[in-house]
Amino acid sequence: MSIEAGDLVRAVQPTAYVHDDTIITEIANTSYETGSPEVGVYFIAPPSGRVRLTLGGGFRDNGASAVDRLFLAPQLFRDNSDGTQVLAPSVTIRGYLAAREDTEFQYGSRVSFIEGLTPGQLYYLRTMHLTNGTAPNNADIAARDIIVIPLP
Amino acid sequence: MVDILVGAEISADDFPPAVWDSDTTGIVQISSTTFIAGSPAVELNFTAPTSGTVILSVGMGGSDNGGTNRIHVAPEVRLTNVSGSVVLAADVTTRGVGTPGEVGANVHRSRTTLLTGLTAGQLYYARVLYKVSGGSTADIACREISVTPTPLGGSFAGRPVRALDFPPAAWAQNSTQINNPSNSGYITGTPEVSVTFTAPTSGRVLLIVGGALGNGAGGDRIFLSPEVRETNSSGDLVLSPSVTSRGFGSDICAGAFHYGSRESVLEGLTPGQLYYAVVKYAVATTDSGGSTQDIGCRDIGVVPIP
Repeated sequence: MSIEAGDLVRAVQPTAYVHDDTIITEIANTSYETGSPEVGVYFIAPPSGRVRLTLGGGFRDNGASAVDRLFLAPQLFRDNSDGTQVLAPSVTIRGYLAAREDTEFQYGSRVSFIEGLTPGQLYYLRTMHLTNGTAPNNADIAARDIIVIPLP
Repeated sequence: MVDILVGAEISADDFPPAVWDSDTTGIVQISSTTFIAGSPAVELNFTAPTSGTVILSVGMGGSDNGGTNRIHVAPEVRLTNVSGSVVLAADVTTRGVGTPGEVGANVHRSRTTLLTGLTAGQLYYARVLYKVSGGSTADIACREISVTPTPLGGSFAGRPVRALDFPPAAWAQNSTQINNPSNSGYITGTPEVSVTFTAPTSGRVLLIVGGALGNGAGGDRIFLSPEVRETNSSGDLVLSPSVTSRGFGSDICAGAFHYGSRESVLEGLTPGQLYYAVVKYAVATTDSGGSTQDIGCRDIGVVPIP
């Protein structure tokens, strides 16, 4: 959906943003977990049903042999984390995947769109993360952030 | 660039839709050292907004299981379609995202820049191109591109639309190479890479910093982070540079330049206030590698958002 000449232009919803720099160390989980604290944002889908998502943070594996990558992926629900899951966590299209060779924190972002959302619907998006889980499990997180910008 | 000014009539042409394309077809054993589109092409069409400025993001996942060759992914923009005149040639230093050659398993990351000077109402074509630095062992797992017209500022329901809802985006970039910096505290460097911008009604802007870093495997990391002040470089400090919060940082493993960016949101700005934003850099001198990394490009972008 796009704005056409003559359409009534409605107020767009505000951008949702969260940044947390709690350091999480020695991560070992090989299935997705929220970590603590959970990092998530609520947002209302705009009339276009389309938002721009940025996921980012800082990640490393400071073990003697760098073997673990940190996968940071978005998980999207209707309403809240008890609601219907809209996007299962996946690093492929929308996640940040860190280099296992980085023994000190590397910081960056990944950008994607989410389309086909229901206009006016409340959504909750949070970060989930996992690692390869190879001993001695020295992958760490320095920061996690989410930006959701409603698009025209 | 045409901005939305006080008294201007807001039209649908000011807000053409944002578009993106993404593909997860694996492309293995890449050997081309010149930019190619690959198959399938990751491409889109977009119409330039009144401002002539869009947010251009490219992203990728990839690695070299030989552990030596870098992957470079960059956007190309043409008029109308794939046969149109080239408006923006693919250039990884100024627009692209790139992996360190050392990464032996996939990494996924993006680069965001602002493309200015487009012709309002013109149809453009944009696609993802890629190449490698050498060899034939580097693989790509996914590619994506998005174009988001600016401004993205918003008003509040029930209020008249005002020009301040849509101040222009601001963008600066410089690719002067800075070799072996060793400053542990943040400095501006030469030349300074900065912008001034007016805060929108929402009081919120998207801050983008990025560039090219690396060039010294195991060397001390380099951080690019934004600093924001009121009015100009002498104004009151609004935001101190912090890589953890908002910066782009190099890979300590990178023996050659790699490319990327980081985005954050700055909130609570005073609508209508003029601000100054600069990308500063610092070296993680507590790392054990010494000052062998270089800076190949520095970017800063500010986009008013709802």
